[in-house]
Amino acid sequence: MSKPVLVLGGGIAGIQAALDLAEQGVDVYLADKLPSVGGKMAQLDKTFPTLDCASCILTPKMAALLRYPNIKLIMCSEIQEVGGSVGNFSVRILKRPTYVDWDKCNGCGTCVEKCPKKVPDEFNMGLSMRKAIHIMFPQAVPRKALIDEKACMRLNPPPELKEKAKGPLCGICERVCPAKAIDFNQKPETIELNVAAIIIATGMELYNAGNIPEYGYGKYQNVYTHLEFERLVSATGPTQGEIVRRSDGKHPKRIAWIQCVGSRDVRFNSYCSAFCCMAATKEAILAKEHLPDVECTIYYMDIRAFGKGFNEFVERAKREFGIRYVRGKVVKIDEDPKTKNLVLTYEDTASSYMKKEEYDMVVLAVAVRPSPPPLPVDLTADGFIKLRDPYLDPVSTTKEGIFVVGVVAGAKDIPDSVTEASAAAARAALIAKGMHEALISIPVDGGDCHV
Amino acid sequence: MSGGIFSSAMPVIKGGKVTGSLKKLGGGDLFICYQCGSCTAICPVSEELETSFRKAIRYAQLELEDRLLSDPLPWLCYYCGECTKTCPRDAKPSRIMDSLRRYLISKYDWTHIAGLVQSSKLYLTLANIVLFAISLLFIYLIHGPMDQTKVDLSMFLPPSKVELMGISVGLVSLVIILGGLYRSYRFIVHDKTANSAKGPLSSLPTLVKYLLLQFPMNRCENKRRWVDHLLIFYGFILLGIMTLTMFTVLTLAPNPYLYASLRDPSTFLGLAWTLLGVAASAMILYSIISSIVNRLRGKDIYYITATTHTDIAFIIVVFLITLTGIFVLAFRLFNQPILAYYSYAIHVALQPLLFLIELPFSKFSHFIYRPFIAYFASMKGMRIPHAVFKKGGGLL
Repeated sequence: MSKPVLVLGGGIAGIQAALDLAEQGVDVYLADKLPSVGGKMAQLDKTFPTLDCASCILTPKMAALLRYPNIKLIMCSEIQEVGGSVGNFSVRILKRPTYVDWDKCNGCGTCVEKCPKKVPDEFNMGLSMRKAIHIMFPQAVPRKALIDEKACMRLNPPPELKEKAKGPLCGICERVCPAKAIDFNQKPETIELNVAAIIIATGMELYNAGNIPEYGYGKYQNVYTHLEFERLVSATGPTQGEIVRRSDGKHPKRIAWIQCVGSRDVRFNSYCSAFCCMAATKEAILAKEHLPDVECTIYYMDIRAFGKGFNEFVERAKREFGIRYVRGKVVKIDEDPKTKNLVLTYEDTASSYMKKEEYDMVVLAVAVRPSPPPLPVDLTADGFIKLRDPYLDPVSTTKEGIFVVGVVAGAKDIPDSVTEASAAAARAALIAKGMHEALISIPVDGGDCHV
Repeated sequence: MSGGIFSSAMPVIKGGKVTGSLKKLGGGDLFICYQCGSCTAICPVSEELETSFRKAIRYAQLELEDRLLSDPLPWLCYYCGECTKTCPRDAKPSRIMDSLRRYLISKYDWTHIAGLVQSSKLYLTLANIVLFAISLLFIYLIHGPMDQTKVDLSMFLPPSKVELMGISVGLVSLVIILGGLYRSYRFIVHDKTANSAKGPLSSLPTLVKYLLLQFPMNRCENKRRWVDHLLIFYGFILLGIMTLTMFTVLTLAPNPYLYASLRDPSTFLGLAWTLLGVAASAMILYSIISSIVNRLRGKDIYYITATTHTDIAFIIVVFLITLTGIFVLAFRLFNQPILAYYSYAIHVALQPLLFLIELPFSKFSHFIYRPFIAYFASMKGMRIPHAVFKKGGGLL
């Protein structure tokens, strides 16, 4: 006899937690605000330090979710209210309408093909267009179509067309759908759940690089974020892996990566974002693989390659791929208005010279920002979810029965997120099976330590 | 950040000789610096340097006293504050530079008084008060009869005695300053790392440029501070020239007729002379008031940089000297003998403060050290900013 567990967030951490719980026979609700699981990892091209294809290792896990009858996915949802306590949480979740009956939709994509309305594709970081009715990405789980109500001409008709038209506009998807799944009358739905435990795995968003005026992100066309570059270099991305400049569509000859953009900077976020050193190294290697003649330079303050095989990866990048590492913080980027090239100003701290260097493309290692859900748990001053005991209970929040894993608890990489997910799943399963009373509770404040 | 155990804790390092002094001088954020080089890269004078401002901070962190003493770098910084705005650690590099300059002043000074007044409000205040009291006492002892009917300053304070006081004060000041300059010259030029030395003559343009143009302060974003510096500098130069002229016609090559006409505002020459004095005072007064107003408004750079006790003392002393000078003139013109005598007594009694405290030990000394240290750096063969006009013909 066990009660269900709710996992919030369907990124790699949430997926791992859900799978581990299901494997132990616990019923799992996996909720995500997006229409597909996969999270940020689904947007990555390769993973460090082995350069494994991110999709190739993530997609089997995503697909596995569908094979467990005791995992229920609640997509396009947001948490509204949480009450109760350990073993007995009552949760209210709002499920946004998709305007497609997912019981009928078989993901054939005919509607997507015929839909006339195009808007920027969030999955590709706005580097390409998608239709108003769309499937989030080809490997989406569940692979179902949904309508973007803001973009759809039927649901949100442009005023000038609305006046002229006699009846409802467009509706092409409805006509072409072979499964008759389109339902323009779908309404938001409230789901009430009673769960034994909650695992928060809501992950992160990138810090808004536009807040850092000296780098000109959003103003200079050839300045990218890490995630944009990942999509650009990815075979499933907007250019099928072709690295081209936003300004003129040409291959760059010199690419610079700027580290610690909005992290380790008291003006923005004082914490380290943990994975950017490795991500930049990986992306520089990928750039070299795609364009062998490209010159890659990484501007850093410290290279934090602390994980297993990480330092070797950086050494390999230098030795085998000729990636140049320059120690110094770039203080500003200036754009050449004619060529749209970018001039970086920095101090090369190895030679103690102030220098300026020109690049065709710049990739910013933008800081992570946690995206915590509205749950009755404490946060730290920098917005991450506070841990009950960072040493001996690193997956528990300040509220018993609510666990936290992945980046929303603190910046970290994929392996660490997955490790935490399995740990939290084990803890949550004990509660779900009513066995947590047997656990020896460890005093948080060190108890009566007389050493 | 109250991020529990994950907050970026500041290292707890006890100050050594150098860092201990810098901490007292307001450079206490020295150890927060993680050497990213933002300060160097944003600095408007960095482009022409073969060294970096970050390096000076590193030297201080590592207690490398010799390196700091032989480094002219802090003197090329004009405290524009761009680095403090940019610093990702909020280590306030411009403030560290300021504390380094004041540290260097105390090291150049062979009397060791500079170290005391630079690091202690109490010592600076006491020194000013005691010296002012001594001067007043001296004036009380030497003063002559006070003519109640008309203002006769030369009867109240005989010029020969004022000159004697001026000469002795000037000589003492000169000896201390020359000693300081000699020591700074030794530290910088006679440093073992020097490679390509230039002659004192071929470096002379540097001295002229740094002294007469207050160069490279014009590189700072805020041009107003540069104008203020130029005004106060030329105000003092003008008053200095006028004082020397008076000294010449009175004592060196006595010319009673010229002296009398210069003193009499009803003659054309006297009027011009008076107006020249008023203009010089106005230049100094404008600059001083501008610096007070900007500090009080907390605008721009004055908001992010710190005003130290040496700044405040300098502002007060110069403000009072200028004000009493104007009072003397006004009371002379409106024939208020008693008020004129008191104003004059205070005006004269304040002068030693400027030349025996401010100039050799405190804030005013940077006006001497800056150009000369740039000059020494140029003699040493260091690359320092030299182009007055920026490439492309932009304004200075």
